[in-house]
Amino acid sequence: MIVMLVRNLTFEYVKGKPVLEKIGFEIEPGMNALIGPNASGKSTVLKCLAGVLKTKNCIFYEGCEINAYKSLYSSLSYLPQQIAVGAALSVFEVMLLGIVDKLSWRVDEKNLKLAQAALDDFEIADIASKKINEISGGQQQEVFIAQALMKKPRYLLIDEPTNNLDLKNQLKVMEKIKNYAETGNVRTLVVLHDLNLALRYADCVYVMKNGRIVAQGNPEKTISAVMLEKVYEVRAEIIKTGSGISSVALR
Amino acid sequence: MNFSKNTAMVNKSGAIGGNPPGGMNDYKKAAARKLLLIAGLFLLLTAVFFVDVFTGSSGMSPSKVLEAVFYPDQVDSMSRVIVWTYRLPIAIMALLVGAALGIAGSQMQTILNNPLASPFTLGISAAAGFGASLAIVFGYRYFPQIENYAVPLAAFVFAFLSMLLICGIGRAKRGVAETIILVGVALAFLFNALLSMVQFFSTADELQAIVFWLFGSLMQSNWEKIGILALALAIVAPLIATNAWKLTAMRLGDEKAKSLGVNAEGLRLSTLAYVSIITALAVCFTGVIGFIGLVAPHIARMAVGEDQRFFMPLAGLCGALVLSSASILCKAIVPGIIFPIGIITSLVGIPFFLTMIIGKKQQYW
Repeated sequence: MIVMLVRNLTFEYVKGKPVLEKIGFEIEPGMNALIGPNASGKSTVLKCLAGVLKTKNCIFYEGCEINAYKSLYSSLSYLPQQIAVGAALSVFEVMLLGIVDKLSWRVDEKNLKLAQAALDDFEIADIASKKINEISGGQQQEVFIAQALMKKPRYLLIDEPTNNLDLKNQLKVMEKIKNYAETGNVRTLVVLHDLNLALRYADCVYVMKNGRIVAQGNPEKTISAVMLEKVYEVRAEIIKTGSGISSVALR
Repeated sequence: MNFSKNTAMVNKSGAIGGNPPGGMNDYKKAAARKLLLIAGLFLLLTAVFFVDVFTGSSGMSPSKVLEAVFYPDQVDSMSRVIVWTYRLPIAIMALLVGAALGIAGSQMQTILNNPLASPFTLGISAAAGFGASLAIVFGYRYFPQIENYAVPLAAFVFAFLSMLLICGIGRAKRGVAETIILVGVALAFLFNALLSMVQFFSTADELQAIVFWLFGSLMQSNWEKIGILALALAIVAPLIATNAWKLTAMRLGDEKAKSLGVNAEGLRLSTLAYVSIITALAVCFTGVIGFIGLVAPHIARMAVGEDQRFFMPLAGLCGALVLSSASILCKAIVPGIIFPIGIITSLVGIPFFLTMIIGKKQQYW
């Protein structure tokens, strides 16, 4: 059975102006990265896959069309690029919202422990009582990534997880996502702007331009000087660092 | 600097060993504190309610009032009439209208993600005012037989119609919050203009009646109106409460809420429909008391945050407390004269509210 499939996906916000055109791909277990220049349609693909934007007969989970797939919200976590953080909610309350479909009026001990474990895992338990609108942008990003991983989703969609993060925390967050993506049958699709992070962490990259997927495959092979010139319109070369990891160097 | 392994024992906040600070235990303590606060405010509200019932121009002693409340057959008919026809209905109406406007405001601010949303700013009060003015001018002239009901009925119909219009346009525009707010603000201007037009064509007596209605007053309270509003609240509040967690998730934005399985547009429109009923009823029975729907939710938010399980009940309690207190002040400022409650709530409440906002160190919206 094909588990996570996009077939012939076309989407338009304004009639007659499609932002995605006949996209089709199948997402394999592991860490997949969606890359491409601004306005190429990456975030729209994620929103369609998360069911935030409505589509018909284009997206399939475990053989079911997305609208008929009953366990979508219990098995999928989606972290959008921007989240409203103005609410007067504590970090712990925000964590609990990650399992909003499981919460009753009185919160079970089991669910409280789940939130606590996620905070501990990200080493952010010390900010649990703070208001979400009082912590830094980087900390907010960590909270929402911890929230996304908390329910142990089989499908994980994250739009630019390293936004607002310093270098150390970028690596910390990507390591967490990578580790999670490797825990068995998890399919992860992450929108990344930093191609070096894609080269370092992705098992497979999908390259988008003008609403289409123009290349896909192993990051080492797909992220090439030719692709960068054609897709990003920049001249760059791929160099091997001392540790054997490829890196993009602008000319 | 010491970078030995031992330094890792000190966690980020400086606590050494043991459970990390924050997290589950602090959450439980905070939830218990919030419950305690709600219980405390409930007790305070009960006390304020009795003070409201005790206060009046007839000079009845509190013990006599209590006797009339609990043993109506054992007091003289005058005392019975004062307590059961005037004081109790007014005091209970203050509680119900305050609670209804507080809950309605809290939900409007939540589902529209906007701190300015309230029955007043969304044009519901203006629509009710227009309906009431129409009834005052034309109802008395052409339908004298329903004189007692014409004003609240017309106010309810227009308030409810304006909410239906907001919901209808909101639905057509897929429940987008900004569209709903803009439609509400536009309707407020429209109904205010229509109200001015009715005032322009009214006689001096009618104009006086319209202006008095717009002041907002609890003087027309009776047990029938209390029954209707209490029933509406008893139905609507649990309906909203069943969606408490989903409503809380709405404050993370539509996109995040949808990804968590919340039907953001559907929840927004259904909640708007629920609160439109209690708002329209509250406003049609008492006139324009706009301030409470805006302020009670902010006071509640500052106190307990936005977990709807605490926020919504507290917003209702705060609304009831503010209106009950205002009801006492209306009677106490000048003995023998009852000031319109709409004026008192704003005059007393706004300085209190501004003091809270200025004094608050934390960002709460």
